[in-house]
Amino acid sequence: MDKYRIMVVDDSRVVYAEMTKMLKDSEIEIVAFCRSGEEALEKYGEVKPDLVTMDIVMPGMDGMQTCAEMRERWPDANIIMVSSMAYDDMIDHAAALGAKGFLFKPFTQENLLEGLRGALKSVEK
Amino acid sequence: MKEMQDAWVTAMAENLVGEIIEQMANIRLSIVPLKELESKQMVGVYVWVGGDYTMQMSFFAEKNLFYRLAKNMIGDEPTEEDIQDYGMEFLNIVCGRFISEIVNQIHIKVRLMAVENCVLENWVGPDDQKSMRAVGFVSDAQEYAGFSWTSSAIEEMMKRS
Repeated sequence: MDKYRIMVVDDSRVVYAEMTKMLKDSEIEIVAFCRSGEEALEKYGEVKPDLVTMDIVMPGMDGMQTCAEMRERWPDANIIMVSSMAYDDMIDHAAALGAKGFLFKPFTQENLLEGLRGALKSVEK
Repeated sequence: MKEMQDAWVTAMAENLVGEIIEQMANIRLSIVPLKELESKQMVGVYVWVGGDYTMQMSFFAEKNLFYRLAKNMIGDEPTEEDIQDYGMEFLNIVCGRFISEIVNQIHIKVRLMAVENCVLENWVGPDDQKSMRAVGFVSDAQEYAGFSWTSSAIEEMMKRS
């Protein structure tokens, strides 16, 4: 079976490194890593991942703005927000923008896999 | 009322820092009085937040704690860049959770964004003692550390509840 392809959007390479380690033996692979919302919007069309993990607090275009823009340009974009900022207003806002879930930092391997698998349920492989 | 709020924020900060560093890097912290940190050589990671409120938060520690944080997370010898990046990410997570706990407690709408950060500068203590609060720790390997925040900004947020 082909692996699920995800794009990680986060200004921290630590998150990318941790996700890579945690997904190593799973059915999910990281096919792109973007360090800004702007870069994610440039790459999305070319990469067309099954899922995007989107950090919220980033310099320049933040994750919420990027999610909104991405969903406008590609309405079938599948996005899960990733952040340590987990207050109710933010979670509701993410859902209103069409995000499929919210993963709280710091995450364990179990949390990460559960969150990603939940958001990937609608993707056929 | 203000004393109760201060006590709540302080206890929350102590629990949060300890919980997150243990989860991320398997490092255990015990709470110590701040005066135990006075003679220690420490470095810090700092973030400045803007938007509806302006505040600074920092995590400072003896350098070896930052080294162990990165090493435990990577599972290998960290480079100097790793030590800085993992230290900064740890602080970013603590700050996000710290703000979230307060916002969820007082049920306000708030717009905040990270404005600037810097890594591993020599810690010289808060610039203005009156507007900053801090909590102190010692690790399972006897490394001293602390977390500080702009208390005046938190007090302003609390007034809105």
